[in-house]
Amino acid sequence: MHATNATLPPEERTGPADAAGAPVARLFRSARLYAGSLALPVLIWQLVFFVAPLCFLVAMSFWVVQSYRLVPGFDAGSWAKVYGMSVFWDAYARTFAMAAGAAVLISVLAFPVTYVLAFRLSPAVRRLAMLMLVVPFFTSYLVRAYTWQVFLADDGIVNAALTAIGLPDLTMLNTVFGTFVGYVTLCLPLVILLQLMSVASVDRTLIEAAQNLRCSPMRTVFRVIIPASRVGLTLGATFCFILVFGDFVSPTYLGGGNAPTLGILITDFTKAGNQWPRAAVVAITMIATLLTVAFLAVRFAYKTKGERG
Amino acid sequence: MKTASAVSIGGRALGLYTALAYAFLFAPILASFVFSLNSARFPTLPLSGFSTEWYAALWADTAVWQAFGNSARIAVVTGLLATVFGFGAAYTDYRYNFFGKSAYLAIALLPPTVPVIILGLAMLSFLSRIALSGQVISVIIAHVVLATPFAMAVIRLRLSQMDTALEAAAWNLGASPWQSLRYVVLPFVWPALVSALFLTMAVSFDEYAIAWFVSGLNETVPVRILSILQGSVSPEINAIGSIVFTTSICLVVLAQVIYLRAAPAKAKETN
Amino acid sequence: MTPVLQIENVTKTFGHFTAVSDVSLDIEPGEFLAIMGSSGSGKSTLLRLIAGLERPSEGRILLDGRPTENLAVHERVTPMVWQSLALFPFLTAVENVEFGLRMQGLGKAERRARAMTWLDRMEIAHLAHRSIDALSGGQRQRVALARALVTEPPVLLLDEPLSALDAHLTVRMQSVLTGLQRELGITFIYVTHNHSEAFAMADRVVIMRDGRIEQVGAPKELYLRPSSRFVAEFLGSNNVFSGTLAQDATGRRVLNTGDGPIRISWAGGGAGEGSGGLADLVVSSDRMVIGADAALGNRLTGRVVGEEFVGSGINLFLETKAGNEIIVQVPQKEMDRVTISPGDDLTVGWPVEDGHLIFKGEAGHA
Repeated sequence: MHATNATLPPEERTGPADAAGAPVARLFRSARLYAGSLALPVLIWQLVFFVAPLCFLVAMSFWVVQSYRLVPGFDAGSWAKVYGMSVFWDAYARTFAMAAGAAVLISVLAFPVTYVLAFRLSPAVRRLAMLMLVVPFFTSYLVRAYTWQVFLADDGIVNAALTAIGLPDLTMLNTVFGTFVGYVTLCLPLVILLQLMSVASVDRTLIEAAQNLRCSPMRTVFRVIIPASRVGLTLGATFCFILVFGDFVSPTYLGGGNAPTLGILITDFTKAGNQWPRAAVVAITMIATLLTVAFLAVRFAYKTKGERG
Repeated sequence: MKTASAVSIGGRALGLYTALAYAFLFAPILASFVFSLNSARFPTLPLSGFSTEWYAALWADTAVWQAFGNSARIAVVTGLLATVFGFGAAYTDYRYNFFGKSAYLAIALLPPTVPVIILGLAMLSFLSRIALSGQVISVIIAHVVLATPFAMAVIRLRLSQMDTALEAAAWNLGASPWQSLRYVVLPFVWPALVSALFLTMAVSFDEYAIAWFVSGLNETVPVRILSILQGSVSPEINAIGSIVFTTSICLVVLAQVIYLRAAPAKAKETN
Repeated sequence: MTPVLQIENVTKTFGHFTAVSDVSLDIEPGEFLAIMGSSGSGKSTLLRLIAGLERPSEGRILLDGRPTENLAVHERVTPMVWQSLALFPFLTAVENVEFGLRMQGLGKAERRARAMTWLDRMEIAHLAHRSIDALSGGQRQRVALARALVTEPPVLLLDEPLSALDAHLTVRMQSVLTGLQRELGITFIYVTHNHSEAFAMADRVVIMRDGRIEQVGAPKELYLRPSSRFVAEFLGSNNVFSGTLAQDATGRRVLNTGDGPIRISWAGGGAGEGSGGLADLVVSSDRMVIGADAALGNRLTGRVVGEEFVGSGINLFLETKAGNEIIVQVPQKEMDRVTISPGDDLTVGWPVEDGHLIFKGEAGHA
């Protein structure tokens, strides 16, 4: 291991090759013991309980299920089966479209809030406002999502309010609208925080320069702030896509679960059908999709100006 | 002035919009509290009467008690392990540069970007192969994987405020690397460690999907909620929800407050 | 007497970059040594090598006559005062001072007593239980000094410790440092880029350039007899004239420069020191006098291009016809006598014997 900064015991910087004698080797051994004790536990844990399970998922997709028992093997049958199901492709298209739609919609919904947090609040109020985003992000999404039922149900709060002011009732629960309410609940705090990362660090002099050149506030937003905070905006949208793509709570409890997403498909294959290899096929397809989307997004976010079309 | 009033109308609209966004985020949380104390069986407006009957029903429900017990044990052990691992990863990132460092960081940091349902599926199929599924420890194993990156992020942020000469100064005064870890690095990152502990406990306490897959009969609170949701909706759920909210909000707010109170102790004045 | 520190042919490379190149130096007990150089000259790396924070790529360092390559950083007794001070922010002043003793395994009562003695010596005993954040810059400096000295080391390393202080505090701390060093009789090795600090305190000054030692000597010696144009210019406030050695019509030795012959005081006759040899003449700016007094021996006229106020007077910058820059240090009371404005021509002079000659070899070999 080498130092990232100048202050490292020298024995950790150079290999034992350029020093002579056993006493010096003692120094290297103790330095390695120290570094290893701190670096390795987390590595071993994540290799065994994160990387290995994901790899096992790939292997398992080639196993077969015989009389409700999983038998090791090398059989592409599950892949053929899943990829031959129209319900899978329907779910894939639906999930992808919902995730993409949510990414765009929630990014748009989040941006005005990001703008207010970045430019209209004092640092102290902004800190509080950010705390109030971190809290819901880490607070039981499951409970927050199903509680929306209370608002969206046919005899729920929203319809009660509509009736009270003489408006007709709306059907919101078990619709795509309901699902999206859940997605906004899930993603909005994180998207705002990620957008804020970039927007708050946009050079103020750029904005003042634009205004000095008689650029209207609206045009300043579109011509200066948005291009300058591309990284945060893209990351926000990407994380939104990832979260929504894998979610099964909102489609189940607010969307009614009648139009399955890939997440619901996985739970169906496992909890109901015991079809583990098929669930694995769906999961691997999801991971491949997410990796592709994340890769493209990162390339877009960090693309240099010269390459921009 | 035409433009000035246009700006102020736009400003007010933005302010109103922001307030609505926050209201949207906190509406379910507030509703849960309100309806948990409402006597009607089906939560709607107008409210009926004040009642603590749903909390009384919870109090009598042994399955819920058990779930809280499991969740608490899992959250505490997960928090401790994730904080220790997170510190190791953060410190390694802060101190060392080595071949394969980005792969190391990716493995440490990636779990939260994998959908929890896939993690749950992978965990259950893998852990059942090595006879580790369906137990409290199975949930702990999975939650440590998921929570460690959060601990690492918090601790890494604190470490970046540490003057790099601080450790060197300790060695220079006769502290071995282990002593300087014990007497300099740990005291410096202490608030971040406590903050990471609370945050990872909240992550574990709220996690439903992986736990749903691997917990077997040892239900955690979110898993209990999922099974209640499979059946008929009962206002009991708002009472559990309120308790869950209170717990995680307390953990997350504590995590933030402890960290922010330590932050002004800026150690890195020069360099 | 054995040198307290022997640096033997030490080289330090980082990848392709050579930070310290073949440096050898003996440092005596009780010496106040300053290591000077601009940034990147290797002065800080040399200090870190002495502290064991770096390991020599070649050569070795002996402490009290014993080789150090088998010692880990924490096994050496070479405490350092850091540029950032590196005080532990989560400890009080006295706990910071105790740190080294605590690492030695001393009992609480004894280390507290010894730490308090040092805080008292640094005149900040009343601040012992303050947190570091609650101390001023000068007070922190004293805590850092006490922390380094409490273990009574044979050598104290100082890495630009005064660079963050205000000018008046710097002077105050300089006298604290020299007083301490004399009282304790231990070796101070002081790295700085500031020559007034180095010259005010040090017994001996090392000037480094590109990882090598350019010159070592007492401050006065360096000032009066720099061994190279680099040293002369690095020390600032020196005028350097380049030219060829010759004799004028009356047989006096001169240096032929772009501004004509300049008389020099010179006795020797070594290789390359005869007529036709190349040389630099160094004249300190405080030896320059305004006026055309014949007694001065050398006179030059230049146009005033600028002035700079320094504490007690003014540095006047002149440019001669040939483009040589001349710095003249004029005391304040003399400035009151004359009025000088930019663009004026001004004649200045200096006594012949105040010029110091640096030989560079035969013409064409320079």
